[in-house]
Amino acid sequence: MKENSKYSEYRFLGKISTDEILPWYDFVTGKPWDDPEIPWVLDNKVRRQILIFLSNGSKTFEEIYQNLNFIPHPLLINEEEYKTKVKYQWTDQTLENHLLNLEWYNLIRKSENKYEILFPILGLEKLKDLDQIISSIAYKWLDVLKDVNDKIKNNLERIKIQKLDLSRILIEKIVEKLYENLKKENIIPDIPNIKSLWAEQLRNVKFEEWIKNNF
Amino acid sequence: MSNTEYPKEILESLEDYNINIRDFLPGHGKGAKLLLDFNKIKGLEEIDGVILKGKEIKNGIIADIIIKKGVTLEDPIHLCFGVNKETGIQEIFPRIIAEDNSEVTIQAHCSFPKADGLIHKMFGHFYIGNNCKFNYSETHYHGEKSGATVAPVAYMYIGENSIFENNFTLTRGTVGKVKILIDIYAMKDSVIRSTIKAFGRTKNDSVRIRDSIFLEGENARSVLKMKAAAQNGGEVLMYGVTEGNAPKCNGHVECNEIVLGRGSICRARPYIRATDPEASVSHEASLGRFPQKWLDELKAKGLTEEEAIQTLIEAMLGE
Repeated sequence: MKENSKYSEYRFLGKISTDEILPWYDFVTGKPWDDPEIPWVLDNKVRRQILIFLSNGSKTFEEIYQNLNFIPHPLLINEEEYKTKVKYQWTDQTLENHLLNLEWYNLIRKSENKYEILFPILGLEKLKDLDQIISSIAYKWLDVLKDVNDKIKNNLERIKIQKLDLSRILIEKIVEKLYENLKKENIIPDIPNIKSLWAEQLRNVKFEEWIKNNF
Repeated sequence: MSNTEYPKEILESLEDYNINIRDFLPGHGKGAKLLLDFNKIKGLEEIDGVILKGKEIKNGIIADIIIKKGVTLEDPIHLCFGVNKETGIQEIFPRIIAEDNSEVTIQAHCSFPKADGLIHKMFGHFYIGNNCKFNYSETHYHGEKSGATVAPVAYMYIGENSIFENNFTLTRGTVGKVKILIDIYAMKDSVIRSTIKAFGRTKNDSVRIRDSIFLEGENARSVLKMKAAAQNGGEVLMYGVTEGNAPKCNGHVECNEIVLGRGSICRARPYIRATDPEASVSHEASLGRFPQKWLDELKAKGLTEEEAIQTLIEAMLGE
């Protein structure tokens, strides 16, 4: 509902940006309590399936509907021995609810008669191509961290906060700062990257591959 | 195969649950069977209308269980995923397909009587067709040393007009670390009843169970009951999700947990959602101690407070 009252101008509309964990933030994540990194909408496998399908390009309602058809297959028994007769199909109404839900969370949008995804998903095949560059950058960062390791230790000893090792927290803070600076320099865009989809694709492909390779 | 060929300890631990294991052994009883000790298939028996196929892998097995169209089984299918050693990692990958109009009960037992650093993982898929009656009961025993880590993940799809009952029980012996994730997708006119019972008895016991029911079809209905107790520093988290995504679907989540002794922790997280204007989903949760009135009534019958509490726990987790 659009609000046109005198209070509109006092309403906060901008993006919250702060280094500190404020009292109205979740103390575990340091982010607004109602804004988890992985939203609840992704609990449902059907919605994850829709997003993965849309990562291949924008699709019509009918195409998504057809994609949700599925027939399960056994892991060991081949088709000559046994052919599955069980089939699942989601209805128009349920699919529409899922799509509206994804639209509400700005994960997809409908333009003309096609749905398109609004955040990046890197497919597993493409990820394999990038593996080399990812490893080389990781090793470079490792070298940098090794170089400054003594500096970190000395600093920790100097401030003598506690006996427990704080280096993991420091590395997390360094990465956080790195993200912030990358965004400031416009090297990475300030849009969500939903990690559970990585996990879903990874698990799915690995599991199927593993079965295929072994049996 | 006789009793002596299947590890005695595994059989005895299941008898603690008042289960007569003899009928489940190959050569006895009428049901189909798949018995596993770590990664060795110790017994496999098919019957008419059921296809069972298992493959031993390094740390466990892959198994297909198919119930053919229209088959009604009077005797349950028995699956026993036991490990009769202290340590190791067991991984099992069962895939169950029940075709349309079938009626079946599956009794699965996961018993690790000697566990002391043992890890059990499962990644299971259940595909239940249309007009089925499917009853799945899984009973666990993790020994007396809190030495097991048990992490099953199951995805279950329930076809149109089918009735699915899921019962998970872990109320004997110690728990160790348990992390269970179950996702159930309910299609049109299906009925889901899922009941989870767990008892964390020591400070080394942690039970974390997430059972999610997604009502994806019109008029799908579900009841999710999660009952648990934590004692002597044990920890329990019952995370029950129900999501109404279709017209006229109806779901309910109920969590009851009892905290016993200092240092014990009970957590409940009933999480309900609706994305369809005609969906209806509800929840209730209660944590803490038994009502004083119940305890007083049992004490009036001559029980001590401790005995009264134990009686009520037995009643809650045993019903």
